[in-house]
Amino acid sequence: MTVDRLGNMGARDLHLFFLIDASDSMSYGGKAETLNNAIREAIPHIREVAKEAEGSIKVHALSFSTGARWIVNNVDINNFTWENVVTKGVTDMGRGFEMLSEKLTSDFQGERGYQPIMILLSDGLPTDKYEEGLNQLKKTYWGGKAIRIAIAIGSETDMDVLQDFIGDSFRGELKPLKAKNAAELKNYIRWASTTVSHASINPVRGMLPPPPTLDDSVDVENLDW
Amino acid sequence: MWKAFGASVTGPSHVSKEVPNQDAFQSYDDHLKMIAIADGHGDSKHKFSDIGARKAVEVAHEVIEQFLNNGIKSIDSAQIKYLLENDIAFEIKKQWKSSLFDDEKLFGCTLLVAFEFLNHLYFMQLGDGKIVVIYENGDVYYPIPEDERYVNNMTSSLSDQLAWMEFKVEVLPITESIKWVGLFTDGVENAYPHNRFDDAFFYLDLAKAKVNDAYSDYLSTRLELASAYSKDDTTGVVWTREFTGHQDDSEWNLDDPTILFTSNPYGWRPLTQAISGSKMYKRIEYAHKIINCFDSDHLVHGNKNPVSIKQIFIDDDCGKMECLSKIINFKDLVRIVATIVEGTPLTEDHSDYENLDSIKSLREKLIHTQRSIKLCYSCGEEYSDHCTSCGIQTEKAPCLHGGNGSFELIYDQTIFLHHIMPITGGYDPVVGVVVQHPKHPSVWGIKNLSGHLWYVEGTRAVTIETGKVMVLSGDQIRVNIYGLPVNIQIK
Repeated sequence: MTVDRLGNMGARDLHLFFLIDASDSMSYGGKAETLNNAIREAIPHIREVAKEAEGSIKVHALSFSTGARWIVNNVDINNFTWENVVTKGVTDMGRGFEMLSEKLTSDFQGERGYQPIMILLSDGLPTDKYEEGLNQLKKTYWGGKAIRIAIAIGSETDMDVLQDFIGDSFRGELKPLKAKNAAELKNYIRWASTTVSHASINPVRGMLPPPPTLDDSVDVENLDW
Repeated sequence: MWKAFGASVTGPSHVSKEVPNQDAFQSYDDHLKMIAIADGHGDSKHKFSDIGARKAVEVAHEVIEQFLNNGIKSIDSAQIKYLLENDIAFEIKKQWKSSLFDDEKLFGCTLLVAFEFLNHLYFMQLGDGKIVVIYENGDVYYPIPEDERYVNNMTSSLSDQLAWMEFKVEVLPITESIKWVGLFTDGVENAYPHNRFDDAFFYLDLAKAKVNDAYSDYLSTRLELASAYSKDDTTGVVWTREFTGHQDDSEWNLDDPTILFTSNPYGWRPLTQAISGSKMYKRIEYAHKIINCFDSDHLVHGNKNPVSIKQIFIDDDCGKMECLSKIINFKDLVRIVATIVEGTPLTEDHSDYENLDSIKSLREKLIHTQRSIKLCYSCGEEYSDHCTSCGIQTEKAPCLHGGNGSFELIYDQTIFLHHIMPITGGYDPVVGVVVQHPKHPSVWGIKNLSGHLWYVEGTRAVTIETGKVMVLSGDQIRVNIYGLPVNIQIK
């Protein structure tokens, strides 16, 4: 288009990654349907937030079950439509993390952009050694800088794994979100994809520590550090 | 020799919201040849940042001119660099703040300066944006290291409390081969998201443009193009001249330009970045660690140039600190410790430290200062008697009683050997750190970092290994560290 030697100009995009558990257990209790509807319903709200970005919001999604695969690849939110996730297989979460690190290393080399947002949605325990994949992810440039959020669907999820994923995002102050029903899942997905996107585009510094008073309801002796 | 040109374009997002341009720029050609730009932060929390930016540019010129007029001609460029990093940076912040009519946060902005003095070019940068030097052979040079913290739309601000610490300074002797010097706000680099080095093309294009009356307009059209992508106010001010005749741009490699840039020693972080946003109790911890790194074995005498706090780097992995100059004497150490703790580089503010003549007395001064600090958990302010900021009386924090007296603990503070026994000099290692439980923040513990076992006494006697946490539960805990009894009063 331009004969000018001004190099490759562009507008910074915010990259939103959904990491979705597509194992067998997700087909029970309407979890997969709720998830599919929740993402679909969040789309117009994400489009609103995208107007604040210099570029746009680009959506990526991968599903993990037996192995992992990319189901949405760098689609502009304005052109984005969600196709229902197919659920079948075990829960190779570690493989999902590995694939994400590979993409971050190959496709995002040397970029400038907003802090990417990664949303992990799962209803159970990983069936592979997820720690290796997760460490690999955190070691990548964008993986380390990303805002990582985890949403637990139902009550069987291993919260420690989700907390590990969140790691030091939000400086250790965010816990995994527990969605016990359809309404909660929709709210959490909406919060993670809109409010957090807004925060990535308009970052703010500094939060206060909580006070030193002891909470009586907590069994202090048996806490796992 | 050089001609100055500048232009500023209001970002499309500001135009649509009817917000004024938040950038300011100026060039000076009087006693002090200087160019400067400032980028106001612009959102609703910084509603006067356009004024702040204008003031920043004016104050920078006034302060630097004042210093240079006070007979600095006899000192060399290294000493001027020291003054810029310390006294001048401090004075710019101070005078900027006092020129404002409301809370400084409302006026927050960045500041970039380039000036010429005694055949040297001096650069100062606080916050994001770019300072660029282009040579006649087409080489591009960025004298100020890129700051990793600014990658996600964040920046340091002149409104930060210890903003003077965030000024980065570089000096360059002026040679014939320097063709072009430019200062730009981040509206340019943000228009190049695909590769961090692509904005070099933008600057090269400006560097080879003809130097005539149309230059400012040309600059303006280029800035408009960038602003269309970055959506932000985009401003640039440059010094440029015609080619000398030895070379011209026909030899420039515009497909793959040579880009030279400075960076911090690999894997090390400037100390000022660690402490500029920290409360005093944290800064005191860094001061103790510095004394550990530069204890009496490493102190030498007779240093011509004072060591600047900006020459000290931390290896975050092991907490080791290094000083670029490799020569640091006791006076330097005292001055750097005083600068860190008091938050000012001016010797007149270090009068309490003047008579300290040994490592032991320096440490005691720090311990004495630390004992008087309490943290208000309602508003985050430090105070001595009661919180002057919000007046709320917060609950007493756990208190440590050991062989060196009592210390009220703060939620994330480091515990040194001096908390447990008096130190006579020599080494004062880290013993532990106060931590909050990641899921229950009102539950505190102390993590053992001492390399030895701790023995907790009483009915629930237990040993705590290195790396494990001693939970602060119950009313009090008696623990044995290094064979020394320590009593922690929790309630």
